[in-house]
Amino acid sequence: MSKNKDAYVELRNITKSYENVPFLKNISLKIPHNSYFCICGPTGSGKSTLLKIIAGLEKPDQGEIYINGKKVNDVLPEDRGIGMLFEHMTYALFPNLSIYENLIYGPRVRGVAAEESKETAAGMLQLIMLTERAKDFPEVMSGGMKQRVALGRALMTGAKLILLDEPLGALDAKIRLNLRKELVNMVKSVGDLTVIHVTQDIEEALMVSDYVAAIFGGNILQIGTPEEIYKHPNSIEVCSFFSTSNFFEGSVTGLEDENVVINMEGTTIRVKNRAFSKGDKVVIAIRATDLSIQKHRTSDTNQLGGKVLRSQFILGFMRYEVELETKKVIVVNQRYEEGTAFKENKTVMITFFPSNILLFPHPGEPLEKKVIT
Amino acid sequence: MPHIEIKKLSKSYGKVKAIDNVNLEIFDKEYLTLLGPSGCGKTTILRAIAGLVQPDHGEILFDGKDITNLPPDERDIGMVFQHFMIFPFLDVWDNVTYPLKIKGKSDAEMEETAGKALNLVGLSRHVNEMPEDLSAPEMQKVGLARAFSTGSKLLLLDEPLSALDTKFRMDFQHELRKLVKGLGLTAIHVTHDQSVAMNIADRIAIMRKGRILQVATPMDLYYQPNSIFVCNFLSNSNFIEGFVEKQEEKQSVVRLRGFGPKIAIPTDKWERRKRLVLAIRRNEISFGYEVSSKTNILNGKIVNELFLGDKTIFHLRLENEDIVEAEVLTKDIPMSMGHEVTLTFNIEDVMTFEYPDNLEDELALE
Repeated sequence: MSKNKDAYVELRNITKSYENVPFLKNISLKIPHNSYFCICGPTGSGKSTLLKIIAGLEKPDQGEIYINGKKVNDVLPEDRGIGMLFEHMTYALFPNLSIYENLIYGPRVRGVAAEESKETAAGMLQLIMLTERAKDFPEVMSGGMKQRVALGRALMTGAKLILLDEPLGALDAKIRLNLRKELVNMVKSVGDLTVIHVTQDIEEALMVSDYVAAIFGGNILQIGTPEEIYKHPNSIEVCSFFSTSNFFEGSVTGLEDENVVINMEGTTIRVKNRAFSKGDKVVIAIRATDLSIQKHRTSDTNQLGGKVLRSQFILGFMRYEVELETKKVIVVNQRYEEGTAFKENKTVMITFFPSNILLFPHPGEPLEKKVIT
Repeated sequence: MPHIEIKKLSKSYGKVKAIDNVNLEIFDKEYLTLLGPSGCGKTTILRAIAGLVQPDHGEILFDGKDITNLPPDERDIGMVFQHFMIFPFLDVWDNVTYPLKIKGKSDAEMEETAGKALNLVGLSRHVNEMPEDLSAPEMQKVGLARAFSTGSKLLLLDEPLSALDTKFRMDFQHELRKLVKGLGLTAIHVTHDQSVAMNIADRIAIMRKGRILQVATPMDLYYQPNSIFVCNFLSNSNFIEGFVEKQEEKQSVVRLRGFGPKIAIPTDKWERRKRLVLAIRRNEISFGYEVSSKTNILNGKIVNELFLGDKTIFHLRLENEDIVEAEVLTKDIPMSMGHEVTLTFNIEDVMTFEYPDNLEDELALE
């Protein structure tokens, strides 16, 4: 997090409980000035609550909130200088106002000169690609358009901090994909803006943000660039949530040159890694994209036999669930090529590439408790 | 043995044509999905089949018999809804047996059919639970069991998976198809989700603005879309403009606009100078090591890289300034990659369409 050291938003030791159940557990976080920052985690991880605390819509039990260097714990939401777009208010446009009037409402209320706000609104209409629909009313707009207007309105408040809670959540899958790109473009072209975006959509988080905070069970486990989070996850939780990975248990049986030799549920594998010693219990993570599926055995090592339980076609890619001879079920993701898909119940060989394997210390409890899907 | 024919069906709400002269045939024991963006009319068709919407024109035949004016309760249909529609004050058993009670079935008959249906969906041990104690997938299974226990051979499903999380959706989708096939039902399933439709259906009817554009098996739709809209809706594709420069045997050469690169296309059906839209699926473009007479080559500059985790999308700017998007598995990205790259794709994978009056309109998803 070295790009810009000034934090625009800082949280110190935030805790929050509901009916004595701790929901946010001592969260400290610095969000750099002018960054696009995603808080990403599964349902119930506390991400929306955290955002509401920054917005002032919820009070923390303990801890301090700073925005632009100023403590805001006792500042009302409307005085915190924030533009907001929350999932449930996605379409909360004024139905009796045109798109243009919806956009200009914020500046008008703040007493911005008519000429100036007119200019900003024209620019914003261009940015949200709705110049020709300026006079239309929300009721005749599609979901994606309304979403862009809502976003435009948040940006028009003139706030330097924008909070987005699942801003694309209510849209059709295909439209979401397109809007993601537009979202980034809009934010970047406004400039001087810090964005905090909460989502459970991993691809969305990785694609739009400068930094991602991974949140699970009320704890932030890792903060990093999208590549760091994906390529160097610091825990089983982060690894399992941000990629489709298969987890195996094993123990280190020896060391060889740069490698550790591991007995992985009965199979011997070698992994380039010297952070472990003989006898250590480890968890081995292999990404679903680092496995390949073949008809026949092609090598004596790094292959496991299995049977296809399910095969799924997802926009040009195949997702297979394969039951290994050990009865363990793993996931394999591949590019779809015409005529090469494996049908259900087919016997196959799975090859894995030892260079892409991640190792974690064994948590000492069942893996299911750590793996987040 | 439900075999359904929809003939010239239309329905308007005010000035808006919800469905516009729709013809569709659904065969016995077929799993058909109606797929399209919000507001395309797919739900209206489903509701017309159920008898919940009275069409303005046209007819609906069940096994050759006109049922257009038959009330819903005489149509013998099982129906499952997006938001479950189960009674919150009744337990699982009473929810599932509700339609049977209304039909005046005996207790013994109810035990038999409802018991079987609950067993099928894996809820036998939950019969005494109240809906509030069930998870979303379990609630939808109650909805499904209720539809099964009617004994109807025709099952109508309105976005039955969309209230479920992604993970459950995949499991449920798989089970749903298996159950429908196991019971030998005819199923009509409305969805806006391409991935659900592609994996669950025998055939897909793809809709836009009240009309059916194409009906085909999932893979036929994917590989032989009859329109730019269908192609765009079912894949993440690049749509680029070009002109036919040369016709060869079973192939032609297209020059991209602005004196761009030449692309070979797998057809000789377009005449010389014809203005075309070429569609190339994003995921079929790769960092090519295997260049052959069967591949096209694109040289360009990478101007943007979108990292999605398992996948990465590259924006490549060609010499004519066109931008082409390629979606690759992150692990397949070469270790050392400059800004100038060569990407390849198979000639067979290029789809071609006549250039439309308004390309933007053809690509609009809403």
